[in-house]
Amino acid sequence: MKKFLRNFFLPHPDNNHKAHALHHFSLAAYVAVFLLVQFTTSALANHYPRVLGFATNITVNDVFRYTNEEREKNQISDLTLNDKLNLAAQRKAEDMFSRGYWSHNSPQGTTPWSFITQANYYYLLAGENLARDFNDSQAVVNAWMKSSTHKENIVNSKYKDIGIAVVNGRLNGIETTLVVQMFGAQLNDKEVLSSSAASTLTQSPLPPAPPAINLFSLTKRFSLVLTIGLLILLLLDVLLIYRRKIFRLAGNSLAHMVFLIMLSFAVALISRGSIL
Amino acid sequence: MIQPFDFFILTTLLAGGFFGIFYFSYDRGLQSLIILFMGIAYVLWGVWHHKKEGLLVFRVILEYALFAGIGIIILLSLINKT
Repeated sequence: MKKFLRNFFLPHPDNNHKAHALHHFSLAAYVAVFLLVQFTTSALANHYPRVLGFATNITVNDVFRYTNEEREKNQISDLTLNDKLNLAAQRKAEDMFSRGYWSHNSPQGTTPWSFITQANYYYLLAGENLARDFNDSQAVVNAWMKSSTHKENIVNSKYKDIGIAVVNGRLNGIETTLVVQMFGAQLNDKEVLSSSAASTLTQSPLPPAPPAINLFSLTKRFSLVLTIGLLILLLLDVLLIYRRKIFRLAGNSLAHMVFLIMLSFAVALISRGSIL
Repeated sequence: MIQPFDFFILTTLLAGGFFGIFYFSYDRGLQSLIILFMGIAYVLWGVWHHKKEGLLVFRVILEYALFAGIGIIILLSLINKT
């Protein structure tokens, strides 16, 4: 057993100075196991979304708060949460789930503005931001702020009201969270009327609910265990081969380490979500 | 024997790729392309580096390809998790 473990983890004359865990067959096996785990967990998430799926911590209140914080940073007055715009945002999110689309306009051609007027909000200006698959409210607002068109909506001083919906559901067979943010200034808003001669429409979109196991975090942890495990094995390999002054016709372990260190950072920092 | 120039090239290539992944956050299509190009670049770097040393054999290329494959699969799985 001791010999098996030594040959598996450390370079030694018995294993031709290369740990079995770093052999081609083992590397191919890691790829295969990783893919198998991905397919299995994805299939389980589809069948048991409440057990294994994507958990998010997005709330209307947090999205509202972070949006106003961004406006304050730009010395712009806070938006007011408007019930009619909330209803419009809620209906838009439900429409995306029921018709299976991820876009500002539905496949039938319904625009975001239809939802706003149907909620009896008569606007002079209106805008829409969408997001999906984010983990938390701050990440959603940060993503919008990084995009010039979405940012334009958030820090537009002409908007006075906001409506937000955070709805979980199944979009095209995938469990997800959609976030819809609708901005508006009503027709009777004198301040907006005086500074704008005509109606303007701008649009930009947002994310899903929590199961017992977060699939994204699970993948992230599994990826980190694999990369850090390989890094430790390579470090041992580099140290032992250097100390024993052995020449070996193989890949450069130091290069693999550089690659895996960068990969670990990317895995640790990568975040979910897309905006529209 | 460490070749600083070779490693400078490698680090620049990889750092540029990872910067691209974060710079184009939330654009999955472009992120996926960057990840694929990074994987290919890593294998090409390995071929170049070992050819210079006169130590290029098929199993070395295969080793780089397998490490690149691990990186590509991990990153693509993460960015496409919805």
